[in-house]
Amino acid sequence: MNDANLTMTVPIAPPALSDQPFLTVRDLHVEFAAQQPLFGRYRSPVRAVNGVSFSVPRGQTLGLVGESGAGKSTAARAILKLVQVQSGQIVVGGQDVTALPTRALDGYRRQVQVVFQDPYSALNPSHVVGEIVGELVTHHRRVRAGRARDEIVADLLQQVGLGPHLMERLPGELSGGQRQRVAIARALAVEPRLIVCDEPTSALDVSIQSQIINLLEDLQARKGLTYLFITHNLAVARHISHTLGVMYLGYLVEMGPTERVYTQPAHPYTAMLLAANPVPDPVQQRQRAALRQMYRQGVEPPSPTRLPPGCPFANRCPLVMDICRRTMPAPSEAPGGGMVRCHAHSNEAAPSQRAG
Amino acid sequence: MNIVETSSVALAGSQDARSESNVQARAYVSSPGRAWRRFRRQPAAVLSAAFILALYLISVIGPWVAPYGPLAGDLRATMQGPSAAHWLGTDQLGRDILSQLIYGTRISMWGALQAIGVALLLGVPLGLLAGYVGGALDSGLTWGVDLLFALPPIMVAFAVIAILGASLSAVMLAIGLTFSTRFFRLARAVTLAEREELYVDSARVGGLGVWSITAHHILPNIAPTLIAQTALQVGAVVLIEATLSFIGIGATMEQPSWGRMLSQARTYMGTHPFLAFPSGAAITLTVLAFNLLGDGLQTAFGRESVAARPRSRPAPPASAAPPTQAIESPPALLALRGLEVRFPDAQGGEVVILRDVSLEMKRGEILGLVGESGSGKTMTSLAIMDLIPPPGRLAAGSIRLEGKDLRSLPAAAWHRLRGQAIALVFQDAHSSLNPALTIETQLIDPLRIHIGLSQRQARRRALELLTLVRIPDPQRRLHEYPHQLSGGMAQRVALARALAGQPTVLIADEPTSALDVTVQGQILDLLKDVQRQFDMAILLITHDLGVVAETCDRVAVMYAGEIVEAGPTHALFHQPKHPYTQALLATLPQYGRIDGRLPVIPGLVPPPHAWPLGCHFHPRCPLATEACRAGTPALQPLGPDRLTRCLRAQDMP
Repeated sequence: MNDANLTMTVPIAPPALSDQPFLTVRDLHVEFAAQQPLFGRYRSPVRAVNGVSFSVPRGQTLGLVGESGAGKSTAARAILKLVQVQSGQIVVGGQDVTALPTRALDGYRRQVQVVFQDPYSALNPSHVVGEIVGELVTHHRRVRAGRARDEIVADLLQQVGLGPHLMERLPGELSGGQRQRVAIARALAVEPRLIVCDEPTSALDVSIQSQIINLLEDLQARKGLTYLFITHNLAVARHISHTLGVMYLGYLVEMGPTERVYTQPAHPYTAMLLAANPVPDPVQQRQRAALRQMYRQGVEPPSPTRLPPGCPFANRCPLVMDICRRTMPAPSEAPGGGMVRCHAHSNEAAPSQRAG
Repeated sequence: MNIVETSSVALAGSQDARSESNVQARAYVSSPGRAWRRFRRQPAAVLSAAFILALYLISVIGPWVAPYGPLAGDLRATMQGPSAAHWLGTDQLGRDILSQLIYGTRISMWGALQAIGVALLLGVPLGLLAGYVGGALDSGLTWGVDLLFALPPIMVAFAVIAILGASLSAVMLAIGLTFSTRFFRLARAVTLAEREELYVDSARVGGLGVWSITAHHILPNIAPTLIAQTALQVGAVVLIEATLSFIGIGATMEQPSWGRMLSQARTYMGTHPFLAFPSGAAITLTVLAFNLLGDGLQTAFGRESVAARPRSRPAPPASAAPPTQAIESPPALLALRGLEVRFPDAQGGEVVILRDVSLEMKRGEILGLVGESGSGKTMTSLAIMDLIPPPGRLAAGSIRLEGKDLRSLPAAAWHRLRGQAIALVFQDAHSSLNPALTIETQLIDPLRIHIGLSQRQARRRALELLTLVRIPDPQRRLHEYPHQLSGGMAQRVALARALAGQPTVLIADEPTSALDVTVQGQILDLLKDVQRQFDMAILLITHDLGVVAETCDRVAVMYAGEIVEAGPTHALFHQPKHPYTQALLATLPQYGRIDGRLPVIPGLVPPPHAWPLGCHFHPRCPLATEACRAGTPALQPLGPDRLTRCLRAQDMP
């Protein structure tokens, strides 16, 4: 990616797995038009995703972390072709799918599937499990409902650790963990290559969370699946991701090999996020609470409808400089690998310019 | 409010606090069998259905059962009252009224079906399409429908008659056209709501087309609403058809229709008032029957809340295990002893959802209450506030505040303590604030009511409280409404309001679970600060062990309605003395466990009706023995200030 100034293919261990990116996103922009009032001032659109670029090698996991409003789910929905892309490019399996004609969409749907956060809303409450999973078998593999399809569905359920007796059940009769397994079985029904996991464990109890993570990892190892894994839980992201991207208000502010991002965060927002993420260890957590004090109390992110010029993190940043309030920094190489969008790391701003 | 926390587990098993609110909002659709059972329980609706079926039957077999032809008049016997030959008498042409009524069912009942058929076929698909596709199509259709809706049905009828000629079918088509707007609006509104559900997105990602998604996915979920509405609208059509016939549009002279019969009776109102009764009663009863049937169907198909149907086995008569021994210590600020909460079940018994809950809180400490969903932590807080949602009840135990037993107080005195001595902060700050009132009003009211401050004093105090919870620019915020606040700010306001009564105990139920982590840190810091300033005790309810690790002095862990372990935070995290706590900590992906599989706790959290005999955790416990299956272990002291409900605690490392 020499020309794309925003794209960084991050070297990831182990390199032997694959060097061909399966999913590449270049300079993605997604905007949502604001509802215009009948009277009064024009409202500018919400820039939900702002020049995001990344790539995920085949069989690997890119974790996207960030808080609400960061744009990680919108980026995922753009890749799933659920929202319109303003500009940029999405390449899946070597094919540019940014402007896919409707008739080619079915083929794309066979490659890319999704597992949503909320297994209570993601399954049709009036369909039984056999239909929820079998529906896509019928649509994509042309197997009509009947014994043959039931066998396929039973096999899919077995792959996610569920018995065939659940086929007659409604989602309302299942537990949260079982529902999420059904959602995964449904995604697997089309034999996809890429699964977008949008907070798949956030609605689950901690004791169920680890079961689902193990399942996703097993499936990846078995089928060579590529994951885009979106979460706000940094511990989960660290466990499952090969590469980690950090988003803040529509921008991808840092990306790199997971361990590097964790142990030497380059962007001050990443550092803040890590400090804020509670760890279940009283000693460590109390140290982090002290560390947190260096961030300004009571200062909250700007509204995504009125983003300031410059870096959106400037008003909360302990390293803020004058230039931060004027221009958004371009991506630059992060120490230790990957990329970061921060003036503190870019060449234009000398460290002497730092104020405060 | 959070009954779901405890009883939805019957179906939901487990999910964390974030999704609990979703579960409440999202009850699930009744199956046909369940709807039928609920329908059967409504005698008025069942009777109405029978009546309507009888009418349709009569309309079919009419020619064979009617004593006379509809138009066979006997001019020698006009205007007769009821007699053996003419049960309901005769009209001005000597026609038998009963026979006319019987033949009239054809027009009223089948005509109504015709009109409703047109309305459904036109309104529902267009409404589904407009609601699902949205955009220009939706705007266009909605404009058209609004226009049609504004026209009086009679004008539409005139227009259709002008085009198709005067006939009953033309009138029914016109009525159907007018009524289609109602179904359009209904279908569109329900579709708009369903479209936001993730299962629709999931179907789109699955590659399904518009037709398949609307017909196969959305329609079944809105069908119950449509069915109930259809019954109601048939009644309305019967009435309109009668009205139109009454004024002479629709059924012709030769067609016996209830409306026309009523119209003719009007002429002889003065001399023969009885003539109007049979047709009037037929119309009234039929419309009433359709309305009752519609209401009944609505109730039968209505989405029932998950909590409404606990399945359960009978509760044991009393707690089998000896009640928990309390550690002797200086009198606690708040002491719970052996709390037991029960809910009635469908079989007439009761199911225990909280068992032997004992806690003690000292002034100036933060006690964490952790557990997965369904463990009973929220129910514990509701019990303290006497807010257990009916029909649940506190069946046993005592709650002492500064030595005073709250359960022995009159209910009014207990409730006065809420908001004063004991305050509560919820997970969702926005919904705990009234969206229609300014922040100022919401802060000032409790200050004036509970503390008796004057308006001016209260305003000054409100400003102080906002400053205390570190809201920037408090003067301006006072005049804002809750929707203008971010989640973090709303939680600060909720906290300020809780502090207004200067509580000695603050119960914070998942106060940061809906917030972003960076904001969560700020709120936790704030909680610790106000706890020190007010010298309060805080009961912090959470599912997040990281939050507990940072904030709490002591922790109590709940599992399946019981406290299974309690102790000082540091000791409990570093040396858990219950296999559940140990397993819970081990399953968390965290530092030092980056690659490889995560340890899991096998199985699911059992719902209250399926609690195993003996230790509630034994089916999932690696240390379980025969003794664990046999007897219910008590929460017993183990070392300084530690309690565990495990028979094998001694054997744990």
